[in-house]
Amino acid sequence: METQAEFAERVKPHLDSLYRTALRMTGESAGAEDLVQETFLKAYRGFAQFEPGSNFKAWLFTILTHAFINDYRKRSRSPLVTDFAEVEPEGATETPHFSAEDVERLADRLGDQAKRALDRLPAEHRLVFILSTFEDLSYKEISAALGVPIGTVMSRLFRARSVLRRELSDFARQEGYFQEKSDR
Amino acid sequence: MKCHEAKRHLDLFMDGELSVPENLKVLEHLNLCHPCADVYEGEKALRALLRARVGSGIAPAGLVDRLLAEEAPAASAVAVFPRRRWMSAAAAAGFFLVMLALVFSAKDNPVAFAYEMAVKHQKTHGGFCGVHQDDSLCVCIHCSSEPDHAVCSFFRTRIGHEVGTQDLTDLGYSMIGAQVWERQGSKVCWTVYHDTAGNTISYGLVPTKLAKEPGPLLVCDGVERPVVMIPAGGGMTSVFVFDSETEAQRFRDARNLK
Repeated sequence: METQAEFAERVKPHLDSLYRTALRMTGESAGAEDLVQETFLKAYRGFAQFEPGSNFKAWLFTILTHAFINDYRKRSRSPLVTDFAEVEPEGATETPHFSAEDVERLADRLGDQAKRALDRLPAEHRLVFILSTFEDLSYKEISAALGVPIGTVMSRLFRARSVLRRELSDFARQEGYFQEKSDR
Repeated sequence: MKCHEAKRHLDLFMDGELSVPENLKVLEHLNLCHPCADVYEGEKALRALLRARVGSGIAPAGLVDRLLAEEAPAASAVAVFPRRRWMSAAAAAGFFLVMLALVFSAKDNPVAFAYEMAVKHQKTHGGFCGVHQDDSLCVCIHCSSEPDHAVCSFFRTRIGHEVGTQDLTDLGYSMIGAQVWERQGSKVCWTVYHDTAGNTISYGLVPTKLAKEPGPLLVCDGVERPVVMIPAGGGMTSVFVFDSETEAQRFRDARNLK
């Protein structure tokens, strides 16, 4: 099975990325493995359609995204829809900024608040945030993977970041050390 | 650029989504404006923290093997792959691109092609990396060593493929980047190496039919540039472009070429 081995070699460098994204999207390791497995199989079968010269990682994430939206979420019957009204308080328009020192202090005390804040984001926003900030996909690649316009990618990303910053700054303020600057 | 503009552009800047001129304007502003640079540093630190705490999980050990074991019977029937045993996957990808590009330009003079390549590298490797023209870019060693750097991510997202490389460390050269540009509608990719004295070697893999009649020297901005070509198998030839005959000779000696 040499071709299969070659495919495996190609996928291996991206497996951690696929798995941790799947984990953040499904919220449990069994679901993440299922999703990666489905992605792996679909990618393997569709490898002939992969356009040489294009971004292999982005291609894998397109397959993972489709698998998540079309199969996993339907099957799991838990559409994971969170309304932004729940996570984004009315009238909170200013986005606080952290200084590098703030972040250092935050790092000392941060438990799983960041993880929980991310998990609370609506799935579509979480996915865009992960693909951009953690996996370095371009807006164009994310737009292709999700089948939405680039403007939608940008607005989701903007809102996801605003919410995360606000949640972390709320936490930091509770801890009593945050020197926020909300000048943007 | 004003502070409020720089801040408004900051996310796009960090995501590598600005146009080249806009990107340079933000860079310039961050270099001059301390308050904005502080915001940038904070944002960078926050992203790094989130990446480390939330975005860095690894897959369970043996997942690939389990996937392969489960999918083998179903998948084997439909798999269609080119066989590329004679090259690494990365080299194969680079080769494929160079070949694609050259299929369209096979009627071109190989010397002219190598010349164009050498001019490109000289224009684009003036000591820093980036998108230098609309159709060319390179990624330097600083970017490779600091993968979270915004500039790095800006450029990396623009290289949509892997590149072929050469190990020239025995000659004191290390790779400073991959360079990609459009040639007759297709992407051409070369890797570029520097030594500590500032000498440059450009390397690319091209079809032998194009490379078979190389001129011994290329003229680039008035400087004669020696070229060494080595058969690479698979109908391809490795092309090395040097700054000087001394360096070319050093290379020939090290590789036992006449």
